Amino acid sequence: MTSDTALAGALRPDMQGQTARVSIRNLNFYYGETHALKNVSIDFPDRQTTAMIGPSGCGKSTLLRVLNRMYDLYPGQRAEGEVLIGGNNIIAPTQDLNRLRRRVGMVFQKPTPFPKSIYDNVLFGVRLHERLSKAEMDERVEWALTRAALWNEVKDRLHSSALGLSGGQQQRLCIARSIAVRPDVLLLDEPTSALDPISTLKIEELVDELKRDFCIVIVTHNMQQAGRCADQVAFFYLGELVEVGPSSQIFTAPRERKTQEYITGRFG
Amino acid sequence: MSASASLKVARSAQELRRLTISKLGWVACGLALALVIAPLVDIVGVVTVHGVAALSGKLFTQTTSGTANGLLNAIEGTFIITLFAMLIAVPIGIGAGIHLSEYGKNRLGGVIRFLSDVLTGTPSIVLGYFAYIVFIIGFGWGFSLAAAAITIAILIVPYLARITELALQQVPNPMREAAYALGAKDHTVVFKVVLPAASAGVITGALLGLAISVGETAPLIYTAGWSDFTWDGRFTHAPVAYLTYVIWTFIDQPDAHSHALAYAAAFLVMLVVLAINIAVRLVVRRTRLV
Repeated sequence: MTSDTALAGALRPDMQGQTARVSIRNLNFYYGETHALKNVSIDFPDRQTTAMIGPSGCGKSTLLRVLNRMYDLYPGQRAEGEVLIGGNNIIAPTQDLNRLRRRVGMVFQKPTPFPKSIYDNVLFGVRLHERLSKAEMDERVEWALTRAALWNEVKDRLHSSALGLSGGQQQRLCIARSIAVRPDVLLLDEPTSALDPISTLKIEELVDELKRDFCIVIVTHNMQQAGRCADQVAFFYLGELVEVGPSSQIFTAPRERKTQEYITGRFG
Repeated sequence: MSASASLKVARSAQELRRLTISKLGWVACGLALALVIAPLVDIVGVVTVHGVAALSGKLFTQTTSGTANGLLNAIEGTFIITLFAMLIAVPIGIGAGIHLSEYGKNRLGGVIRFLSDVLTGTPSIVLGYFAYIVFIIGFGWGFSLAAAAITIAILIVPYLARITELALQQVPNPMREAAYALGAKDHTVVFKVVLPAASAGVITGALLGLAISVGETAPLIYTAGWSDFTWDGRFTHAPVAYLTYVIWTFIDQPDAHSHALAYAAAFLVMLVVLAINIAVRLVVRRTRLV
């Protein structure tokens, strides 16, 4: 496992030189009076997976929810600073949220299938943004489910309820639903914390496969998972970005003492 | 040795006391249950026996004349009052429920919720009197279908709003967020995701509203009036008949044929309410299995 990540790191000697899909500069986030993210600056490179780790309440999920402006649903939450996706500051008030969320997909901690058929679940986002013929829709469903490694399991029951799938299948369906709209960025918020080890393994393999096409940001409490999936790892503590670097470096030679203490399990 | 023996005696005495209390408890619970069920059995039994005896084809083909003949006008009247009441109440009640659940976490929502609760607790006869003053006297509609249906609708709306609100709140928040995260707008999230997910609760609310509407009497006394004829299509200035009126007034008449009609009407209302309750159970069970 370690050698794999080391190899990945060696193949990408200078990650900072990669084109950044998402570029965050001096981001501050507030839940009412609480200052949840403090002056965070970080880049998420294209076609790579970035894992955000850190103890509960460190701000990693908050950062994820800034990237698709999920916080807009809740009054009293606000962000300041710059979050550039494709050159636009997406936290500007003028940003069109529906367009942003089409480009930035999100998968949640617990699977969230809608009470509809598998087919209609996959097309839910697609139908909001595109007008497709029946054949194109069929094609898109097959493409998304195949990419989400679910096609073979459900191709014979596309029109039965998504609620009949197992937890792991439901989570892959949610991934299929997110990538069906062909986003640029895919956000995964602890996507395996409600799943068994085998389902977890499938999702991790999937993430590895999907990063060829997307910029992936994953929040995880599982250090091994971060090691297995991520090219870049960011460690957050009390709302601050303590350290970010290639995963090989973070797990073998962290620069900060706090990072080392966390990854060796001394706190968190 | 003697210490342990006395311990044994003490323990068995305590055990005996415990068993006695337990038995007393069982008896008390059984009595309470019997007290609840006995009147129900009595009511259902009496209404069924007299109601079935009074059933005949005439009930469904003839209108009342005085306190005799059939119930066609009353059956039709109850049906149209309920129909129009539901047509008014369902959109308003479900709409209010959606508003309270999805956007009502502010001051305005609190006020609406409070007023809605007050309305739920208002005795229906008070509501009937209010409707009498406003619609019958104030608007000059006279006893009429419009006044009756609107009054019943006012009665149902708060129930429907509250049940819809509770049903929507059962839908987990990540489901909403997932829809928003795909770029859905507010109305898409509510109508395509949240409402379908809560459909069992919402349908249950509507069916309970239906049951209330069919069984309600007091507000109709003030608003519907009574008519020996079937509906002539007018919404105002034309009183309508309804089943509960037959139950309420005909039973006081001195003759047997009036009593028979009253029991037949009671039996029909009971059957409809029973059917609605069975439907509610089926809806709840079926959607749970999905």
